[in-house]
Amino acid sequence: MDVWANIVIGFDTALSPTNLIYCLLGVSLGTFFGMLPGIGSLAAVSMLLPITFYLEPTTALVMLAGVYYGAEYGGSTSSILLNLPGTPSNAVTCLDGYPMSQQGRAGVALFSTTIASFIGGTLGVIALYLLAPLIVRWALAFGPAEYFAIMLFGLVAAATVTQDAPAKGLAMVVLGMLLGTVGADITSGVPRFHFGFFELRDGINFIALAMGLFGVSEIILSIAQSVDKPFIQKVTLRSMVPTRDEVRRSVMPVFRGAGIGGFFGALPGTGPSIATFIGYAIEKRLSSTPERFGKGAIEGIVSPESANNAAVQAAFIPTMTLGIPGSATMAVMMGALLIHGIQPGPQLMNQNPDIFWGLAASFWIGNLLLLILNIPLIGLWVRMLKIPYGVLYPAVICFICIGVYTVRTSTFDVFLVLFFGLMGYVLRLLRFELAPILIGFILGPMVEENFKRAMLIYRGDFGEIMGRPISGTLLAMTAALLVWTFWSVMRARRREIRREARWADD
Amino acid sequence: MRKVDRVDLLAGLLVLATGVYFAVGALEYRMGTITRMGPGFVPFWLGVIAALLGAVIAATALGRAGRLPEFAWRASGSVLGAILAFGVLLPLFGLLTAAFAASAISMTGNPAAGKRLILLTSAAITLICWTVFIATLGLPIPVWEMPF
Amino acid sequence: MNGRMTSALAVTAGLALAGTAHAQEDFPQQPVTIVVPFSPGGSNDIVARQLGQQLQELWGEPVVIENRPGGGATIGSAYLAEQDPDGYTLMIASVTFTMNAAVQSELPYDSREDFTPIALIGQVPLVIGARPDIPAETPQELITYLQESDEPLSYGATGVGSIQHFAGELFNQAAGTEVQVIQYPGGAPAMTDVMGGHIEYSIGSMTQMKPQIDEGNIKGIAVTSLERSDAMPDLPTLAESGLEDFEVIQWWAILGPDGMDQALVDEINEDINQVLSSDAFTEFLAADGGTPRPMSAQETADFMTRNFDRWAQVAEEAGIREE
Repeated sequence: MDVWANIVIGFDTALSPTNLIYCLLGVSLGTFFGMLPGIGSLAAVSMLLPITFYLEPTTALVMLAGVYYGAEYGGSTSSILLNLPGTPSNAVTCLDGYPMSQQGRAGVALFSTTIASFIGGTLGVIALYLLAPLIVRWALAFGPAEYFAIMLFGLVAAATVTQDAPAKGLAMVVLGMLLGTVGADITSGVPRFHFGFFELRDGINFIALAMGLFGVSEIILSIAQSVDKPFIQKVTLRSMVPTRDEVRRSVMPVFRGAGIGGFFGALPGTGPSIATFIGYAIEKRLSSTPERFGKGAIEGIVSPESANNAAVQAAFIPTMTLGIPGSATMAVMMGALLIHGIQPGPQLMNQNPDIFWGLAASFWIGNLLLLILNIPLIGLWVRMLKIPYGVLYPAVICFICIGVYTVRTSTFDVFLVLFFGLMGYVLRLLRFELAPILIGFILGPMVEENFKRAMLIYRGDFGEIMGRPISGTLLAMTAALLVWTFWSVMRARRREIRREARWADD
Repeated sequence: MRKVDRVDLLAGLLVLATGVYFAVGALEYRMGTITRMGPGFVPFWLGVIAALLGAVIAATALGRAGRLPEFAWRASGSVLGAILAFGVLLPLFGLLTAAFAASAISMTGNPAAGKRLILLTSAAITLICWTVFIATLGLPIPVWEMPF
Repeated sequence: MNGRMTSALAVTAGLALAGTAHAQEDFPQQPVTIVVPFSPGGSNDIVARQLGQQLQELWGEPVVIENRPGGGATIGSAYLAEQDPDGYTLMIASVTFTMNAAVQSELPYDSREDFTPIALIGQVPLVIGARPDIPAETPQELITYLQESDEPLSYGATGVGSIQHFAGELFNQAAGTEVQVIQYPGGAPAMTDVMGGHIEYSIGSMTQMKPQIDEGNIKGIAVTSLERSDAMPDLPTLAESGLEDFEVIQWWAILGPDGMDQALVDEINEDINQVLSSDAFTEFLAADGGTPRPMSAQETADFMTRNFDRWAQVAEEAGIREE
């Protein structure tokens, strides 16, 4: 396989002035819309899709791809600054990014995520160039049994991330899974828990859930405390630069994140969100100071961000080579190809090498543009926090409402935001963590669907699922993870009891 | 009086109730067999697990003290009221009215905001919304409607 | 330029003739909306956009495509049913619309009564695509294999009451096989599991199947139309392979709300048929193995009635319903 020739074809296409300009346009628009609360990458790509109808197919795709990762990047910015995750994959970034922001370290957080995204994206593009044809063969070995096993692993890994109060963390994962059961059950077609609303037959809209739980509850809490003081007092260039210690702690997480992202992105039907959850869970486990996570640990943002961008790039592999989109956003991108009369699929690489490799090259150029564009702008974004909150939050509320409304031209989802906002506020008053709800909500239905499918295919023989090499290994890993978690909780508790006993002796 | 952490007690009971609600609700759907799981199977067992976890959380609340935090009526009322207003007004009067109302209502949650500030800010936000979503993106949102 | 002049003339003519029976001939006077009850990028969306673009050139008025996805087309359909029957809000519907009516018990509208069928657009056959290592090349060999195999057998479909589900159960009935349906959230994931050899086959859209069959990732067995498709002439039909009269096709139609004026319906029908007979539209459909099927409004209504009746009967016999 002539990788070099592909690179030449690719960059030749991508560096044409038209494509460069539209790449820049896409990246800028994507970043801007991704930053608006309530608009995730899915909404951003859907909104801008009609604009590209009149462009050349390659140019259109270059621009939309720019919008996609620009929006993912912009979403991480609003996650860090305002605790508003625009996409499922940004939810994890909130966990440590927002605390950093509250500590006046938003600049550092944005700077590190920009760098981490770029490295993750670059490695993802390299994987796309070198491995695309190989990965396709390998990914087909994943059937329902394997997907069930890997989703379950992701769910358990993510669920055991919160250890302060394991029962409360688990309860939120299960609550998320329960919310995930709302809507039509794919196997039977029965609409479950739809409360008489036709809108709920497709399930609860993720954006409405995330905006309500995180965004609205955050706004209520903030204005209940105090409104007029801006978050931070001064923004200097210095506050952007990570300390030497932070750089040292970030290196490995960035590369691990990219590896995890590349792996999950390449699997059709998983998407970037599970990669970010697992990236975060692994860093927390490997850390010698896991208690810092959730309070502004830099590893907790760079790993998921790197994983996210690597996964976004790698997700183009199954979309372009198999015609199988890994996420809803990818499905819209594929629709864009179809509208331009290009059928993604195994033949695309051979029949339209300029489109395929040109896109791959433009992904990397887009990532580079993101870097160049955003490093100087970080100061500006952070300065946004100097806007008095009393003026900022009404705008945020309006943006959330409009963004949610436009996803499917329906005010129903606006009322869902209202409901989940109240729910999020009550849950936070009761000292629940909210991120596990989103994790359960996203992974729960995937676990259920694939489990049902696997059990049907093997006619109820669970031994068959355990006997298959990939799913068997993954299930064994899941079991080991459960045992390990249980053991470390017990050990921590024993230590605590011993400490208390010592005090009692005094 | 015995010591009770009211936060965790209430938290546990809430999760317990949610679990029971879903488990009982799931009984309306077919359970199926292990090979052919019906639509009720997964929600039923998830509901049971949630109920158990709720019971555990509530049980651990006994024996230690804890007070409920205060519910911020004004803040939550203004924010949720703003969203409600937006959802109701948008299809009737269009974006301009809905955005202005949502912004103004949400600002009543801020005790420091005077009438002038509320009006000016809401007008500015309405203008920004129009510029971004209508003028720039041309989204299919009703801008200005008169239902009567 | 030309378009604007035509519409200016039309406005004048409209004023002159206002109040007479010919008033509808000036349709349209303002932008027309075609509702697509699915997300952007699906087959309904792509067909509607092509049709919309050509109607726009013909009419000289903008044709707006509005995606109102959700509930398997029920949200968009319910929306259309509530609109004024003035011709300015139309919707694209597909065979699924008549299948939903057979399967879903509590639709917020009456599929047969609350809509005005205006025109049929075109049709495209489905393709039976089997896993690449299946020991069968022809429909007959496939049926023999399915009848005699001891292994648990499964086929992929895209939801209860989807066209793939109906096609699969009809095939089971006709061939005397008992292959288990496995439901997927879309045609692409179902196809992936066929490629990976996890399930035996899937009866999917030609658009999705053709590239995979050409590349050898999936084994093409047959098409489900009564006649062979020009796009894949080597594939036999099931009807010619011993399953008499076996036909399941995907089609698209344009509907309006109930209560539209007959003259208006006929006028829109003529305009759509004019687009359908254009080379541009024929080539557009042919790329995916489809053919235009111009019909009068009355023929379209009869065609839909036959579909409603047929799918209701198949659903009854095969036990396809939301449990």
